[in-house]
Amino acid sequence: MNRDEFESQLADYLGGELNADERIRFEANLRQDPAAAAEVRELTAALEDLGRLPAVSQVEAAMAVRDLKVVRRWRRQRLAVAALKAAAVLAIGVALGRMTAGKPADPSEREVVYVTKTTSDALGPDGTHPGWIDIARTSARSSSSMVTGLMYLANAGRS
Amino acid sequence: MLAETNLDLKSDAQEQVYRWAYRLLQNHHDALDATQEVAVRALRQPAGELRHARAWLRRVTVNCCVDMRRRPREIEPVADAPADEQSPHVAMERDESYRAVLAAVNQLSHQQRCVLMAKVFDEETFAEIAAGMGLAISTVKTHYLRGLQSLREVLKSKHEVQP
Repeated sequence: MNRDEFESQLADYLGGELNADERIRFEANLRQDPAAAAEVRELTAALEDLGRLPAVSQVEAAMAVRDLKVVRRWRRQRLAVAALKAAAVLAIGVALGRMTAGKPADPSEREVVYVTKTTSDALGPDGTHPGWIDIARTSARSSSSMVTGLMYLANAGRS
Repeated sequence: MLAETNLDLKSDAQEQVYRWAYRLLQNHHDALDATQEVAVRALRQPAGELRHARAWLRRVTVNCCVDMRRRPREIEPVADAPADEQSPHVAMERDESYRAVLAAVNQLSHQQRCVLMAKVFDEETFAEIAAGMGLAISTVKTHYLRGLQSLREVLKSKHEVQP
């Protein structure tokens, strides 16, 4: 028997694919070949090591997969709720922002803006440039509404 | 086995994937993650292209588990340990031995792993494995023997290193 034939039979032997007669013959050959017998012992040990890895039963697997479905459904629901929350918070934030930042400027501010636009070099009563005062007021108001909106978002997110 | 509609994994296929994954990961949550990952990959697979769905699933599961095993993992038994294995020392030794085997399995070639899984875990014949993997029976036997030899060498060297 050459090496290829031996390996083919060895694989069949270890894999349990020899019939009873072939098995007896193979084992008889092993008794006459200590090196081959040692090789078989080594490979059988490897097979045993691999086979010792615990397996789960069909029932355990079925239960685990059921968990998987539950987890999936739960994740989908959680994602949907989070998306709804985010959409609601965003809508409220935008509405709040519009309510506070979208007010028309009062007449005096309009006048300042007008003065600023028409006489860009004119100074206000306090000696500062009216355009800067107007811009500062406007940006402060926008910032305030933005901060209000963000605080609302943060609080809603926490809840 | 694979397709429920065109793409979704049937429950029995999921169970099979979970069982393979658990065997290779020895961790319930990781096995679930792997099962989910394989299910996603199955969804991406065009329907009708799989002639050997079981072999395909096993190959993808093995790939997925090998990727996951590259990160350090905890051994987490699904079932309660038997009464004689309740002591922490015994449990630790047992986990250590599983880890060594899993690490050795990770060092095998992909085809050796697939063949060994099919033969040892699923008890398929060499002819069935060859058909599933599209290989000659002699090639499958060679992968089987080389895989076992590598496994033994790695495990032996680990035992020799340990005091």
